[in-house]
Amino acid sequence: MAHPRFMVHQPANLEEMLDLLGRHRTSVKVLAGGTDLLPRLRAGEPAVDHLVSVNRVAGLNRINYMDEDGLVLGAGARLSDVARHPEVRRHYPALAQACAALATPQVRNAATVAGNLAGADPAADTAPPLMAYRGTVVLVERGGRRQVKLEQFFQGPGQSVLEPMEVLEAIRVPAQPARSGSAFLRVSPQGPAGRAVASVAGFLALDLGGRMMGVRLALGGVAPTPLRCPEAEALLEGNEPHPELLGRAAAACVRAARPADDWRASANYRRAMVQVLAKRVLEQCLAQAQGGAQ
Amino acid sequence: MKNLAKPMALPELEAALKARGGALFAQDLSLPGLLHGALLLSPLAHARLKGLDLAKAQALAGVKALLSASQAPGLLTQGQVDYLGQPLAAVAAISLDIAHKACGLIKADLEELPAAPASLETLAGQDLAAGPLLSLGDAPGVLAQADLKVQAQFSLPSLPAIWPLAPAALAAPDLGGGLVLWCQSPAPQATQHLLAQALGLAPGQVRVIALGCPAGQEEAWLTPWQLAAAHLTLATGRPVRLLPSPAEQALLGGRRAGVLVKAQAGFSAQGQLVALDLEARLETGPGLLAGGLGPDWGLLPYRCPNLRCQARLAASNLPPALGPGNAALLLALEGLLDLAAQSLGQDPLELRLTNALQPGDTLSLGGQAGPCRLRQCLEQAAQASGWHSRRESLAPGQGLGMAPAVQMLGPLRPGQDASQAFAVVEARLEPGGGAHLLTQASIGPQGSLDALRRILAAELGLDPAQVRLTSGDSALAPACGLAAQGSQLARLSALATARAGVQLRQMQAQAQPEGPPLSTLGLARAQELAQGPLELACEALALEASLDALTGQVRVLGLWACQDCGQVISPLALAGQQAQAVQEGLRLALGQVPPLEGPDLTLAGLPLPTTLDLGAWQTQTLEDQDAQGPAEAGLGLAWTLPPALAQALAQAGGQLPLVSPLSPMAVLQTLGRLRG
Repeated sequence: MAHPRFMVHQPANLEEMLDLLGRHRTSVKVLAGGTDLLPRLRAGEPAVDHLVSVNRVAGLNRINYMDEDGLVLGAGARLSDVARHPEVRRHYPALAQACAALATPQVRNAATVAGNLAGADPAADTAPPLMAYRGTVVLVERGGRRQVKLEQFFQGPGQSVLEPMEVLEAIRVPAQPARSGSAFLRVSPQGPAGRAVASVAGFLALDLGGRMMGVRLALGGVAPTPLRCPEAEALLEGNEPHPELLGRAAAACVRAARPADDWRASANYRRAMVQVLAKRVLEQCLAQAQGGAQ
Repeated sequence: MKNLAKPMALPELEAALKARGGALFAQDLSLPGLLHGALLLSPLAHARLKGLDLAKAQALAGVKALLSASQAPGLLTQGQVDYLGQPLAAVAAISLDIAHKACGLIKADLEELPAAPASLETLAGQDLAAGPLLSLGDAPGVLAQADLKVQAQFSLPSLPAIWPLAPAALAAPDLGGGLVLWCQSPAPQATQHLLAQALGLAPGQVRVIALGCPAGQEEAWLTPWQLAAAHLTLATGRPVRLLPSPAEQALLGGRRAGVLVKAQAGFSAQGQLVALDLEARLETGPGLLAGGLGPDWGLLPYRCPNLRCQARLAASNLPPALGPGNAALLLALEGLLDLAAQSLGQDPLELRLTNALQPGDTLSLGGQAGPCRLRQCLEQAAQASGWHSRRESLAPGQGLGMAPAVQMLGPLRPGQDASQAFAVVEARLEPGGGAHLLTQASIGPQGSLDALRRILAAELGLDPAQVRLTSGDSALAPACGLAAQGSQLARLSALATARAGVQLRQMQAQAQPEGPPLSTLGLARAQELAQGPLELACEALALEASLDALTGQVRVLGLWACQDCGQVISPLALAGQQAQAVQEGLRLALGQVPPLEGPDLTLAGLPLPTTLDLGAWQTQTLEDQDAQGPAEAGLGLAWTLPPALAQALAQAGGQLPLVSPLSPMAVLQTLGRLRG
């Protein structure tokens, strides 16, 4: 096993960070929590000579919430900080649940939401809730900034639209309406700290007549990328909730999944879990939304 | 040893150093001219090696040695690959990167051959070679006439060894054509002899310094990295270190053999176990490594006058394995008790208390049980868990299970060479007022070498910090018997230390003020402990679990254990060892079984249980001041966890699982809710 050797740069601002990336462009990676990157480097992934850290870049550790604009998470926002942030817990409970459920406390204290997304792992736990909240990522390079919807960000296992010299600067999540609910559930054969073999996040709001509006369901770990479930969402949209309908929507989620067999879980098991988790997520979303309505 | 209560409660003296990462192991040492070694492993499980093209690797700048089969006998493949990961070539280079690059440049011409089936299911119907047999009375005859007969088939697949610290090996040339090897070993002197034999050297030409002991490994065996470091050092005349990757550790680090147990038991109408027939089918790879069938194989915690326990061995093309130890047999036996309790309408705890070993009973391994407090352990674990009230008040989807185990302490084990099962330590008084203890042991009783220091300090009236300890060095410490290894060596060394302390104190009382520094040897033989009834370490564990019947996810909500470890020398070290056993038990009960090959096999991919997998837990220790010294806590608690969990899940889900570890998929399959 090779011991990777590299230089870590700690730029103080975004400008300096982009300069460093440009200067070492042939052998450089962005370092956030390092909980994913460093084990991969140790396991023998192509060596890099330079790591450019986001951790001391001014403004990148922020977690800001405004009622009008919603939530902004900087690239350096730690999972544990997001999980316990009062505004995140109040307005984005599914995201708080995902950040609190992922890996171990030690990992959550170091890992970042941006890092979890940037690796484009199909089982990245923060992706489904952020997709359910219609989250976007802000990507920046020396030429400028662009904002990409999460559904379009993921391209395949380990692949995203992130260009080599681009940095995931922030995650933006719109403000959520009143009388809404959201939830996230995952299942991992390796116990709570293990990698999820299936995860489901959901969001729904209720109109004044009690009909479901703005329904969004997203899956993780059951396809080459995290993905939405348009068929299930359409089934629920504009309808009054009842258990049989929620069950049909959960079954429709299974049709969106394209799981593979691996040693952690069979495709059959993953499909079965999508249905179980989707039903539970929808029930939790509904309970929250109805609680809010009261 | 009875007056040690207060000082024993202190953490071990090296604790701060270890906690800060300051303790040195083979991977931390550096010597002038150090080279780095690497092995090229076979990607095929069974193949004919038609040739090795070494030219490109040899031409790589920085490569200092490149060994093929003829230069490293016993390490590298000769003509035919017999198992997955068998080393094909060994490289030493000036950096690890270059060594790995060189391995990548070697072209192995392999012709694939059909591999033997290795799955446990395929072993069920095969005609297999008979291995060791334990037999008491007439098991088949009594079974046929028993009031109640239960039978089932249980399996525990092979799990990779877990090395908390990577098993690095560093060898360096020594005077006279010999060498020094720094490594982890449960018995440095045994490793020294194995290595000398493999290299064709005299034992005196090899010095082994054990820096730690591999967790859970009782048997000394040569790892490929130890052997490769030695061969490469002899070939280059320079120090060479090998540091295996997590995938290499999982492949060649001493996995435990997988076992399938066909089990039958007969009971009287009152619930007495009258006959037991266990046929254990083992997948052994090309053959079991040192230590035979593993720790305490066949040592059962119940009275059983009629027993047949037959091992059958199936060679496969998986990597060499260590013996499985007692875990699979206990899973099967406890499963049968659960089935019997259900048929008889008895409380599982009552059935266990009815049959629990008591002093004077005949042991399954032969011989008579001596002091044995298994019933007390069961009763205390039941009391701590609130067994009766808790079982009655469990919510749907929850269950409570209980399982016991017993372990041999220091006495002779079946098949052990009595003349080679002894430990010797040397104790010296130092001019400055302290003492110096030299021992071959690389692990102490109850998990800590510090216990030896405390024993000597107590006998001499010193502070433990005044006792210097030299441990695990085959050249510096007095020679022990080669058969004394692991926890047996630890326990015998503890007794030998106490004796050396007593002798030294007596010598001190009679010594002249101007006389030479005093020193003495302490000796303890396993045979002494085997005189008369055999002392057993006992444990029992109650476990509460919840089952999500739709996802198959299991959560251990609570765990209450009671363990009898003889005299407690260091409560903190004992607690640490109990925690380690519980963690290993969780792996046996709930860990996933990763594949032996493929990109997923990294340390991150190896599913190790954490405290997140466990709710509250509590262990109690029964202290026995009359015991023959400290007993090893060992892995007994680990073995109780899978059957206790199976029993809890049988209550929670209505079906007794017959396999361990239990993945969520296996749970759903047991419940008939998932196919494939």
